[in-house]
Amino acid sequence: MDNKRRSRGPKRYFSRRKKFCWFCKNNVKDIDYKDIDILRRYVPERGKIAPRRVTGTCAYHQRKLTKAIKRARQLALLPFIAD
Amino acid sequence: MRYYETAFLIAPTLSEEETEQFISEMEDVVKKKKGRMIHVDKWGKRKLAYSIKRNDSAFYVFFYYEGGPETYTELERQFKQKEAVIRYLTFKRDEEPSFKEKEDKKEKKAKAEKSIKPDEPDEMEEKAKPAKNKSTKDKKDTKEPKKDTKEAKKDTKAESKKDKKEGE
Repeated sequence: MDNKRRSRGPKRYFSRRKKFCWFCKNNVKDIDYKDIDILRRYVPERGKIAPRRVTGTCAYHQRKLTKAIKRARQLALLPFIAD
Repeated sequence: MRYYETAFLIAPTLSEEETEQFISEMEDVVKKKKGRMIHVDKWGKRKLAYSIKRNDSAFYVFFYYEGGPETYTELERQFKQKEAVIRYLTFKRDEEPSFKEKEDKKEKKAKAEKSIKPDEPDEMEEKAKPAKNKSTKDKKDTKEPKKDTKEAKKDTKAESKKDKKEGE
């Protein structure tokens, strides 16, 4: 393994684990704005929605997620901004 | 006819009796406007993520019903008139919301989480460690068990990350 890596370019010191969409894995069709425990995972301290590149969510579910989070914000289940 | 879902927040200034009365009044409004109530979900008093009209908490109620456009417009008109309703939102739903399924899902999830946790690779580590100690004599043999330990570590890391995510 190590030899192959060197031949490709600079030595990599760690291998990134492939991220996988949590919703695809659990066969979630619709993301409900009332499942705050799930939504919280995608809203870090500041209250912003975590990007796809961080969480590994697929495009389809990211779209549903943003909608659910924004709905939850309107109903004061999640903060717009948190400090 | 369509399926709708209306969420509204009642100010905590109302007493419990008053809120119950208000909720039943709203149910009557739905029925009067040819709506069919499917389910009423009362969460009770909850802390708000931010204050709305100087209220820090509110009584959360969710209506699930079937009806025409006049059903939800009438509901929202009522909400506007009442000062006790701090906020309301109505969503269209394509399918009839089923509440039995949700409970099943929750049970399944709980079971799934339980089944995942005991599968942590404790055995793998135990196997890998003694192999490492034994194989210090021969250089050729050392490479293989080391790889095993690396893989085992990766697995443990991946699982710990998962756990963290779930924890959050």
